Amino acid sequence: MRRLIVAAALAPPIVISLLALTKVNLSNYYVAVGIVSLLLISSTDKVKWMGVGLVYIPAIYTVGLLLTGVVKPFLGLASGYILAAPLVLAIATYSSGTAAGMVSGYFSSYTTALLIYGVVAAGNVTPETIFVNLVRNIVGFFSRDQINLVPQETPPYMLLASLTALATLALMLGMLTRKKLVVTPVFLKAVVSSVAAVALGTVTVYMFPAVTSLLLLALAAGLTVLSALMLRDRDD
Amino acid sequence: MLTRDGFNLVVACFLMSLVTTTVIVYPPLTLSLFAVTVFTLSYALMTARHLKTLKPTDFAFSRKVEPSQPRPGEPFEVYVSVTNKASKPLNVTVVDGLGGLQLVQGMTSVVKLLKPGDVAELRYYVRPPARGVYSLGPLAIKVADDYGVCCRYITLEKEAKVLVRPALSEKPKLLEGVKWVQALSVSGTGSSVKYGADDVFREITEHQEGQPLKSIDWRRTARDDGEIYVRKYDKLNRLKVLFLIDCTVSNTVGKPSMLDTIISAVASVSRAMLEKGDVVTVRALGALEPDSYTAAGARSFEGLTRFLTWLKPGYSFDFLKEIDKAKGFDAVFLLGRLSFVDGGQLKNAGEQVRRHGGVFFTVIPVLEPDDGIGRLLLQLEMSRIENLKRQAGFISVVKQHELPQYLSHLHRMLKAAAS
Repeated sequence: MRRLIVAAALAPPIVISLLALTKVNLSNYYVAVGIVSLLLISSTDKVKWMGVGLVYIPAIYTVGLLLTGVVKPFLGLASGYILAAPLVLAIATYSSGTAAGMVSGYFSSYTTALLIYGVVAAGNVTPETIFVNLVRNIVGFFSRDQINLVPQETPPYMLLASLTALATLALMLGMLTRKKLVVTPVFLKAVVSSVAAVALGTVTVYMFPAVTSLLLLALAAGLTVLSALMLRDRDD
Repeated sequence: MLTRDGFNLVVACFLMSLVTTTVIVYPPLTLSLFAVTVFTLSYALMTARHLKTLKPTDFAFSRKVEPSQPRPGEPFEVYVSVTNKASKPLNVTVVDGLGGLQLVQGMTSVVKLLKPGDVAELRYYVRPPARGVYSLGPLAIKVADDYGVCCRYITLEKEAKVLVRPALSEKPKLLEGVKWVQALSVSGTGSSVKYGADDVFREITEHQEGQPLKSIDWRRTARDDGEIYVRKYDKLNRLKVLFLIDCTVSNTVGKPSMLDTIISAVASVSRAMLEKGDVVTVRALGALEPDSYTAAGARSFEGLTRFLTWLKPGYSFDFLKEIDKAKGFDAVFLLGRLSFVDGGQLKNAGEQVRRHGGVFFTVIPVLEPDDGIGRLLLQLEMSRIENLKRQAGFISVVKQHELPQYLSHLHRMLKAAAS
């Protein structure tokens, strides 16, 4: 049951990654090799060693080709690794044993998928352009006075919004579930509180988009400070 | 409070919220992580409030130590049970502290989901390295929520004292001690010339209420018409013995320490003395809390061992003042390395005790080294003792392990001399 819930929580980054993959030009087979080998190496132990072989052999071979002046295989493999990154992070999140690990994994998988989708959706579909533009975007982020890393070309908004809402509920349930699914009254109250808070956030997104981020951050920070004060270590 | 996992989760949520509201602003993701953050924090706050309703009285606990009077170096069993008396199941971790005791076997914590009425048990074995007062505990329980985000610690018992009494030598072997005391001249007081410390019959009287049954003279009672008669005894030749124990840190050398050996020896010989009807006073010189204890009768041996168990080494003492308090004793034993005493003081002390009709013994135990450095240190110690001897006269130097036998034999000699 827990696995199903965690898988549901990871649906948005997986869907975004698949949407990005559908746009990629896979005529360079090294892209596929990169994706498959990275997925195998991060999957179960049974196929892990196969994945290690699949990573090292093409990597050494393409580096060899790069030294002889043939660049395409190397870039294809590198792009494959990059395209597989959100899925690998999703797999890592799926097998994570801690709640903090799950939240961090969910976040990193989601953002990586968004970044890649942004690059691919902007028309950079060949391995070479994906690699170069992604690097340029990331480097550019640090060199410009810009605070939004998410590119203009975002995935279909409505699809992602509803999927993310469901994934969020699954994440709440999955991150605290160990083996057996237990829903306590306190858990339900916390879910209701968070839904109410998100409703407030959603309203501000539409009515006062300029202050949404600030409001959400202020609320999160206020709650964290309150928790820090209330949950101080006290000797009974 | 938050558990480690709970703390990590709160920190991760806050950082993610910070990033998704400042750097990576994609509304679905921002709102999603905001929802997770609010959920986590409100869950933690509500759970902490829920856990706060628990009281220490929601748990019953018991602790047993077997054997009840542990000996130095011998492992003993500690059994702790905690019962959930609350009306709901609780995730409980029972944790016990060991103080200075060494864990030999078992675990000092147990994790269990306790349904109402269920019991969590802890069973472990610990070894006291030496005589002393040890503290078990604090016995605490950690009650965590179902998801391991929040927890609360409740202390059920701050500490349980365990007295590890000095080891007693059951049957002192006299042969070793005899070698040392053959050349001794003993003098002192002693009332009985015939019966030693044994009780001396005085008369037969009618039984009064409150007199012990063991004193009834059954033969005489059976002979007469319904009256119950008791035999009365006098205790003669009751020696008043004083042990002056040098408790300064200079006596903490060796393993077991010199001080522990002296205390064990004093405890052993005191038991024999008390059984023989003597009165034993032990005075701790230079102990952390200098004090004395007087025991008369076998029943007060318990109190004496308790006093000896609590002794902790201190730093210095005024020997002349201590000797002033040694008047009126038939025998005074001065035991220890005596690093703070010079030969002249020892000589005066001996003379003072003898002037009041007592016998004064100075006994310095020495270690039995098994390596080169130890032997060198022993030579230095022996030369120091020789210096003391030159000024003070007779000083007994006894190997550490022979001290109980030596003291035991001195006691027998005193009794023999007094009879």
